[in-house]
Amino acid sequence: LLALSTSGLCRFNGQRVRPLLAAEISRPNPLVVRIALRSELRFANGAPLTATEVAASFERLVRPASPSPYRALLFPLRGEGLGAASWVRAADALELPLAFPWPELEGALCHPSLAITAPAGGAGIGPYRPAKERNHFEANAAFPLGRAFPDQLALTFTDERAAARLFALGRVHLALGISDGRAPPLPGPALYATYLAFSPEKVGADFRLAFESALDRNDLTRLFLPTAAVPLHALLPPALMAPVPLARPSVPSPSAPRALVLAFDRSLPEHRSVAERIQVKLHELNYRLALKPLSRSQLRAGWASGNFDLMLHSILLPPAAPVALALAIELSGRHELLRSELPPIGAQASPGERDAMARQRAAALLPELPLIPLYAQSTVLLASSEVAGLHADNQGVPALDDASLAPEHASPRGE
Amino acid sequence: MMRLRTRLALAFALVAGAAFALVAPLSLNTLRQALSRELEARMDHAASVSKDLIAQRAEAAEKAIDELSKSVALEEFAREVYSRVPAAKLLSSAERLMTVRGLSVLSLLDERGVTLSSGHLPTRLGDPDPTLFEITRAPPKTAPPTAVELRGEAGLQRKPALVTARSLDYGELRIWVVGGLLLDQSFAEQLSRMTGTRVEILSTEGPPAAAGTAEPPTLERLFDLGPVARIKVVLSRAPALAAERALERAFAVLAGLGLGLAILLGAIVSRWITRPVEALTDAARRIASGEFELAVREKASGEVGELVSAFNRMSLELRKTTQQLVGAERVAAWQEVARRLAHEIKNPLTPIRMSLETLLAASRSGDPRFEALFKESAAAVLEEVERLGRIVDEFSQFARLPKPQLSRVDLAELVRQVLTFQAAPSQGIEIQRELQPGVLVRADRDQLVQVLLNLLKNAEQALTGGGRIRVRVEGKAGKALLRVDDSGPGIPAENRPRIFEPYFTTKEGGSGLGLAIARRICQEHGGELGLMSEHQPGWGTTFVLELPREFEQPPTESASNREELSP
Repeated sequence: LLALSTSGLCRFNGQRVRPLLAAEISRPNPLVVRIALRSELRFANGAPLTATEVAASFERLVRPASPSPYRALLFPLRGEGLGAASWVRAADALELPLAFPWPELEGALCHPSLAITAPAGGAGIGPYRPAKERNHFEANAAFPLGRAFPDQLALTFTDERAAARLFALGRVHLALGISDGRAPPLPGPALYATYLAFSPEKVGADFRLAFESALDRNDLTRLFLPTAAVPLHALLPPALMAPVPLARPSVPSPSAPRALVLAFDRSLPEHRSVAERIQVKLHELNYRLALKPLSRSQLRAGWASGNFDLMLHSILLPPAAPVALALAIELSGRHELLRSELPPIGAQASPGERDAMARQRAAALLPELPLIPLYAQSTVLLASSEVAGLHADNQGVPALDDASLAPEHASPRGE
Repeated sequence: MMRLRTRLALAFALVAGAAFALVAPLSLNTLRQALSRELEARMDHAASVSKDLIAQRAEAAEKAIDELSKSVALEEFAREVYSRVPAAKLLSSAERLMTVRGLSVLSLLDERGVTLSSGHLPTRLGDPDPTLFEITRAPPKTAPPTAVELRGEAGLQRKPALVTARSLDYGELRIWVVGGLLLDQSFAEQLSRMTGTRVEILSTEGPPAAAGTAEPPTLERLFDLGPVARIKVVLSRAPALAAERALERAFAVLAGLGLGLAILLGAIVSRWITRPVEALTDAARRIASGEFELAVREKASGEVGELVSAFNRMSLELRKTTQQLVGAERVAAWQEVARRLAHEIKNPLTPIRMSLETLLAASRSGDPRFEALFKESAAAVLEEVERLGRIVDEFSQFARLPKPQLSRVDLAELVRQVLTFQAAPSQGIEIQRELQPGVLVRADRDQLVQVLLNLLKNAEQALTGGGRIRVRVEGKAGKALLRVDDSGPGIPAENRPRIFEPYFTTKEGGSGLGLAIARRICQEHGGELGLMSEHQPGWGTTFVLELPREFEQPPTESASNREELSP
């Protein structure tokens, strides 16, 4: 939904970077990325979008007040964005200096978390913009890639059963987050990965072993994740690296009861189910888990401070293994590893070599990181047969700007 | 010594206190027993209500599970299982079925006991639940208390529930419906409301479900719900104790008032009773001191009244008898004085008569020795007349002793002057002095000198063959003592009681009035003259003159020092 009204400098399909708000992204030398913005860009609220807003948008991501694992996307920049204002070369041009060669930066800049938003109000530039009517979006004629075909999108928030019923009755054309078993979900990579982060000194050295013995990832995805999900048997999802079968160790002998707190994102319903499942299964191994639902900002703040026992995190990984590895390392809290892990990968000449090295490092690092991969989800979007031109980008984000409806099925208002 | 009045008042208080001491414990004990019985009755009632409520819950659970097992909704669920819909689709099925039926526990199990869907713990999905599956083997139509795992604040916790099971066969598929009602907070609240007690449901894990309050101290009773839980009913004993305390306070106040009243009444009554007795005691004391002219005027009845009358009669009789006795004694004394005076006068009369008769006979016969006889007889008569005159003077002195002219006299000083200037000892007599200075008396100095000279004269007369005389002055608290000892043979025991009687003497030519006069002088000064009863080794007779002591200033330690003087 965020992608309806915001967009980044570019779109990345895994191989090629397609400029969006940027007119051109180039490299004058291997340690500088030059970005030339399109002219006359304006946010949905009418404010102009210049190189200053882009630098400020990047700086917001990495500043301590808004801790986010996505800051790893900008890790290769020299000074990690501390000198964001110095990047601005002109009103429509920026130059990003790199600390080490990192050819993946252009792809990373296309990540949705680096969508450019206005400093005040958070307005962005997307194919749609919020309409006056609540929960309605209207096509944005100023979208750089052209005006979307549908004039308007009307959103209805409901539960899975009601959504399925509405879809079956033809009352909605698109249903996000459900699968009726008949219409195939929108094909897209499962890059929305969920991990269990833990504090080793609080949960004990044998926690990973206990967890692996208690939890069956296949059961977890089959029983508790109705939307398209795949078990994560490696640090990175199957779309980025071949799953490594994780051996399920024998159940350790029960020790004294250990009380822990598992925090999760209360805005994600599947987090609750997964947290409760972990609670039930670890209970058998004498872990007494108290569940603590938090808002996303609280969750991120707790994560950044390191003051937690167990925490469920979901992050959208980019369709490139090196950058995904950087995000996973950042999420694990081992920020210092980025300095040693990323330069060797960036030094590889070809994308294939960088991917291969990233996968190899991901497999090697998994036992060291206080992070347990659980599952990865793709966006599940059911579209009625009348909807044409619908596709998802390589992030798995649906692109509704190219979708269209056959005229006889459109409502009089064109919704 | 405690007065009779006080004793009577205390006796009244003791009687009242004893009555309270008997009544209060008995009453309090009776009250305690009644309150205890009432608490026991309430506790029995709570137990009965608990059992009824549990039975009602079990019945409600059975009804709900029975209805569910026959419902279309469960059949629909069975169809979904049978048609192998994704298991995730069944995640919340049991929860919906559970909620609409008001159940708090529901698990849908397959024939192996694996959870197809769980309402109370949805994420049990796919796992076996042996605890609930065991219920399917329980006797039908029962809802035994079972420990059910639920999500608590700190992980899973086992909580007591009344759980029953029914089965549904769908083709070759068998689905077990296992569910019931938790004995949770709502149950505790309901039971607490119905019994008016604090109720705690104690399970094997986690904090108890509790409702109601019970101010300590409390009375508790536990009811077992099999091995899974216990119900604790807590009754406050505070109201009962408050009632007990109130009664104790009332008793204390009553006891205080009663004791106060008893003491007051005792004081009044004892005063009423003892006033005549005290009047009698006072009168007796005054009569003993010689005050015969009185009668007890207190009004009294009964025995005390008779006692007062008898006392007054006795007092009157005593007064009469005493007057008669005094009169008789006075007559006897004067008779004795007259007898002795007559005897004394008679003694010189005999030689006078004989001299005169001799002269008369010589005159009649013309005896030539008449002249010589006349001279001799006249001399004898004159001597006897002189003796008579002396007797009359001394008697007159005894009878008309002048009124003492009182002044402050230092006894030691007085003794020293008398011994120096007026009482030179005879040959062979040694006088010793032990004079404590500063012993003052208020006395007529001349009369006191007369007494001392008399005592010294007596002592000297007792020392016919020489000896020692010791004069001692000693001051004591309120008394001044003058002692005169002699080393003579002492006074025979038979004469000791009579030596102060007038005209009693053992000495040739003595008048017998010296000691009588000396004693009278002492008595006129408020003192006494006596003979020391104890014998002192080396000393024969000791006269002790005791007078009231005068003080210039309060007596000091140094005042008791004695002056040791050589003879």
